[in-house]
Amino acid sequence: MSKPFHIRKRYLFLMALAIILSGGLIFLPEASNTKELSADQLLLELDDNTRFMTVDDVADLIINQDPALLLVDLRSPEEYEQFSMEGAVNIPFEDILNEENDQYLKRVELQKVFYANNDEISEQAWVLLRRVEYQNIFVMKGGLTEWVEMIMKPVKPLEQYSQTDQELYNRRMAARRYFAGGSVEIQPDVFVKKQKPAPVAAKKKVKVIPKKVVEEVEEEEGC
Amino acid sequence: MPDRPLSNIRRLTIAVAAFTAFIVIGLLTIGKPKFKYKVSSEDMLSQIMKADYLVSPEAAKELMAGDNTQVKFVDLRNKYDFNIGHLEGALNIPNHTLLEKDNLNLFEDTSITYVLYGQEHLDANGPWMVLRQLGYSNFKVLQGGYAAQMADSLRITGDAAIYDYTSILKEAEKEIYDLQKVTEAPPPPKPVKKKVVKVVPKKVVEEVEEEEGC
Repeated sequence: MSKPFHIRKRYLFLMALAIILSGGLIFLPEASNTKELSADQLLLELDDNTRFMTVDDVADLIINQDPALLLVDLRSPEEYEQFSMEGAVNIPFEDILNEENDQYLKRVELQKVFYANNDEISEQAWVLLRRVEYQNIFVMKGGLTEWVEMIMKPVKPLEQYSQTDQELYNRRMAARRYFAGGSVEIQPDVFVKKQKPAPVAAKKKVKVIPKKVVEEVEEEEGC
Repeated sequence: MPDRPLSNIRRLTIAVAAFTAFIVIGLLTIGKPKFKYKVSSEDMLSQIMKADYLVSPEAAKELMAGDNTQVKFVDLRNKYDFNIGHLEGALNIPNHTLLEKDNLNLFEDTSITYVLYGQEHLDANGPWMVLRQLGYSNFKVLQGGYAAQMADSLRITGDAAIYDYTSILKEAEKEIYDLQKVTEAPPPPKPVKKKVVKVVPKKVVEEVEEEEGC
């Protein structure tokens, strides 16, 4: 009879130990359930400029209909309704941490590009979300202000400027045409030089010219 | 009969031992993070919304003019840029060295307000957010950064819209519509135009020359 009692004692002891240890589990998840980027790592990432996309980059992605692009408009719903960029979703800045937005922001395969009027709140949204390790998020440098100045109202470079500047201007003008509802197939060279109506005009002339030539020939013969 | 409870206990012993090992290993491998965030993301967001962390360029000039020992400017740019030019009395703490021990010790003194600035506005914004989330509340951001201090005319608007996007878009739409009307007035089939365009000009030239010869 002594043995069962001894056994029972050990049994109880082990039970108690298991319960106490399970208490330790409470502390385990608390320390690790929120996956966060450490502060020094975050600071390091801030030193790196790869999070920025220029308005030209964004314009290229839109025109090429990049399926991985998701523009995120951080302005108020009213502003978003008045004007938004093609295909953008509206997540007002104050709602950026709401879980309901994870359907967009947690999609790793999409390049989420934040934009607002300026780039300050986009950057702040980026920092907030990077801390909790959202992936593949970007900031549109300069925001819509830069968008207007670079894409919608590009300044023609002076003639002495480099070839690349001229090409950039041509690309921007082509992008502008695209965003203002011009034809989808963009042929920058066709559009940029205003004489390019010429090929079409030439066609008109083509039909006309033979007649003219005939007339002229007749006149000259009369001479 | 005596064998069964014994084997039960053995099984329990093994289970508890494994459990203990699991928890001990778990606790050991957690590893304390070097820096612990003291402000939650949500609190940080509401801090940002308050927008009381900004120091306008004008306010900064006043601060520099007065002998204010309670406010110190912190230049986040590298040494090279700092040596070329910096705000009066500014400390140079390059961005990536912010979290070094010496600097953090310096920041413990909450009687001093540190105003962060980089070359541009955004350069100080991120570091400010990192420090703020680590619990350092005595930091502010110089609006517009060093560039705005140097150039008085630099516009600082926060996130207010400068342009009326819809009217700009409409303008561009109209312009391009007009342009297209000119170019597309008679829409001729595309394949035809190329052939004709190439051939005809030559003919015209030849004919004209011949006529001149006459």
